[in-house]
Amino acid sequence: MRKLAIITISLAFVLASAACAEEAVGRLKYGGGGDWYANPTSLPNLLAFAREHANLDLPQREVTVEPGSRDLHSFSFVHLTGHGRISFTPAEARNLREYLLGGGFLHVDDNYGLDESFRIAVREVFPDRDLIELPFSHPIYHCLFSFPGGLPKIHEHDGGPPHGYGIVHEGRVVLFYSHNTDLGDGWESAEVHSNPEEVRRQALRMGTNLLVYALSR
Amino acid sequence: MNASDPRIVLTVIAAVAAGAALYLCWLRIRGMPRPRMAVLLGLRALLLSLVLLAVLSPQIRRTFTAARPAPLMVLVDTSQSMMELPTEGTSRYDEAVAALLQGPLAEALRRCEVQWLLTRDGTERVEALPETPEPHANSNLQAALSAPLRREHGRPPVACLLVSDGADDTNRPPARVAEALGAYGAPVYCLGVGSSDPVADVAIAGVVAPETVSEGQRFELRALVRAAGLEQSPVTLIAREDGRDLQTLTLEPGQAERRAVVELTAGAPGYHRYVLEARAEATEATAANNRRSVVVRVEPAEARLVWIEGSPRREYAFLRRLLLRVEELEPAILLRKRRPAEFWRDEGQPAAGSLSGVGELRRYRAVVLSNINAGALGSAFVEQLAEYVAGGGALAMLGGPDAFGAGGWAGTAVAETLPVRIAPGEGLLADGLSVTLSGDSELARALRESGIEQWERLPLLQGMNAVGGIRGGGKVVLQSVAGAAPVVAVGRHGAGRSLAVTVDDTWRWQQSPSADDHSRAAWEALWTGVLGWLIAPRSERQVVLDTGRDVWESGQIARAEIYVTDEEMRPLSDATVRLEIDGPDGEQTHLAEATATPGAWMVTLQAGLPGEYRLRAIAERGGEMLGEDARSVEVVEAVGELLHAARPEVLEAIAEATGGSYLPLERAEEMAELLPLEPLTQERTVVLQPTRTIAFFVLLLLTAGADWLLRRRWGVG
Repeated sequence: MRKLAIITISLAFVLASAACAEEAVGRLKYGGGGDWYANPTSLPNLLAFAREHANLDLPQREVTVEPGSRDLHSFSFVHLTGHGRISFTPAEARNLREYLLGGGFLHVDDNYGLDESFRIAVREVFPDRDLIELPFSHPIYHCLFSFPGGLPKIHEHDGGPPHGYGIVHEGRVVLFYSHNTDLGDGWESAEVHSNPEEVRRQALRMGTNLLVYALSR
Repeated sequence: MNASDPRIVLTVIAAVAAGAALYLCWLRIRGMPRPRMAVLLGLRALLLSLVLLAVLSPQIRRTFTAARPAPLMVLVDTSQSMMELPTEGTSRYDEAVAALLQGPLAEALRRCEVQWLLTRDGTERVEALPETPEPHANSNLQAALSAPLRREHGRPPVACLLVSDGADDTNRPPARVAEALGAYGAPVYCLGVGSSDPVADVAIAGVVAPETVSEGQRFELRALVRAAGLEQSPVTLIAREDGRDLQTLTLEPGQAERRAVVELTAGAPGYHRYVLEARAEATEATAANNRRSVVVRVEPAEARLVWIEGSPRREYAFLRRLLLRVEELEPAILLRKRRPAEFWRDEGQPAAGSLSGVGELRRYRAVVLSNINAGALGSAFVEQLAEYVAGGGALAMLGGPDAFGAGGWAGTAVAETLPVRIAPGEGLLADGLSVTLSGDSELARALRESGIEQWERLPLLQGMNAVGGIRGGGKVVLQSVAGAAPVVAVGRHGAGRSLAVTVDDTWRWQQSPSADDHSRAAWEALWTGVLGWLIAPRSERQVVLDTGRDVWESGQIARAEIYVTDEEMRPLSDATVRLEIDGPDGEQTHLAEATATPGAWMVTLQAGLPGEYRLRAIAERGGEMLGEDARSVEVVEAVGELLHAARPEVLEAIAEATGGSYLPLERAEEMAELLPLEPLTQERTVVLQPTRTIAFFVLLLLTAGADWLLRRRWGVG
């Protein structure tokens, strides 16, 4: 009887969907007026590239999620970008902090002009922790594709080298902030910013590293 | 004799009747010529006399005196110590034969009725002493002597002459050997052969080693070396492994018993056989006892674990953090970052890795296959995994789109080791899934004891691998509330253990919209319990095989004891236990017998040909395999009685108990005088009855015939 029940349930569910196995990737819809929706083709392109070049079970597109939503905790990887102002309510900051310390991962990509506002906002989330610049030897630069010089430079922005900062919790980077490079622009479709193919590839590779890191650490 | 005696009355009557008959006869023939009358009267008188004798039947008594040689039983010991000692010069047996067949004793024996006997399994009667009889192994002097003395038929011997060295392989005290022999009533005269000085020989009497050591650990092999009769000779002790000399020690002369300590460093995990060999500079009785070996199991230094992860994913990320957090656990993580089989080491700084890079699996306490398909590992590695489990390792398969049937594991050797059934084509079931704790397995009890309750209340999981239920011997730990499908199951295979987790999103208990402290604690309890179960030391085996020592002598009766417990280490008495033996004699299987001790079984067997034997004890209950254990045993040539010095005290005790005498062989001449060899004399009385003989009967017939014939011829009516 028990065996029959198992078989019956098996038949009912067999191969119903593989969706449950996919890792959820989100775009953070933050407050403050910034264009959280910038670079719309970036994440789909990155997910496609990562699926092709790494052994990752990723969806076709990202899902928009708000920082105060409980749904945030379902995501394996959350991306934040924009050019303008960003702010979190105390509840959002608390939920985001809980998500990140509980095992989540947030990639913040300065699309130019986000830095000042983000550094204030991140203080709301982690008042007790500082963004630290990660050394070039950090696994995040080597976990699949090797970047011995750290972040690749995608856009010039204010000139100077790119910087990769992190909030580290128990040895794990829970928040990675890419500054003065604009990885998202590099992930966008080629016709959007007319970046050279090699530059785009570098951006996509670095983005794949972020995904691999988030899903293995 | 008196007047009333019927024989006297009868005699008188007969005499009167005979006189009357003669008178009547004379009346009838008185006219005949005188010679004829005399003949006829004589015949008739003779006939009447014969009839009278036949009626009276007189008896004649005669007494004789007879003498015959004394019956003597001569028993010659043909045990190994008699035949093969001393190693140089004339053997004890040859000395005994010379004394028995030459000289005054031989002369004395020739005057006797000797029955020659050799010791065998009992005794063997021979017409004469053979030149080189086959040495008798497993000799027992008391049993050999009892057999001929315990004669229930035939004439008992006046004495028994035992020619022996007094040594046998029972090594009983003299009083025990002589015990009861006196009851047979035959005095046993003993001639003692051989020297009672120790036989010159070097032997390793024993080796003590730890059963289990950790990889790289320093440990000692302690050996007791005996140099009997060679106290003044140095002995060299060599420690070897796989034919390679590890250490050589010189044991200085001075004492017969010398203790040696060999310090070694444990090598790679697994079983190691260390051989100790002692060498003497002087000639010794045998080299068969110069070597001993001992098996030491080397455990990995740390609780090492191999984790083979099929892809970066959230479930892995959470589990990896736990892996690196567990104290005293040394994980080797292989993460497949590209298909089909690009593996990276992921326990520290990311670096390229490979399956071969983890080395021999036996170095690890557990292997975890986490959402990895069989094809990525290759058939050879899959076979290795199955052998690893059968040999005592622990294996876990964790769910996902590349696990179980979906990962192509159906029909593989690994599938046979798992506690759940895998059928080809079984894929993933996608639906909300709640779980409940089930069963009384060790892991289920540990989860109960963790204090986590209401597992059903945990955040729903979003699917699972379809499996065909529990295999024989498997136990469910967690199951789905709907359908009771196994979510976590444990089982045993061979000497090892296996575990299956058919879901891949327990991370939802850690981080999901509905995760809370209760669910996080449940996740922690589950995976801590799973890891703990996987890396538990092997000392928790349910089946333990104990062969006592690991060196047996060929022909020796040896015992293998097998201890069986349930998962809580309680002795089990309702198991079926068998012992499989693989060695130079071929393969054998023995069914073990339960002993009076609960949970203890025993197999008694005889060690076969020299060589290495692998013994494997397997216990089952109700068709369910409980476990197995294996050991190696080395069978060496039997030393037998080669080291037995003569024991005159045994012969003295026998002589005393039976009323005989003891003399050493050098005084064999005196034995001729001690033995009761005088011929036996006997008086016999013979009673003769002449009238009951055929000759008397014939004489009677002839007389009667002649009387009748002459009467007719001479015309007497």
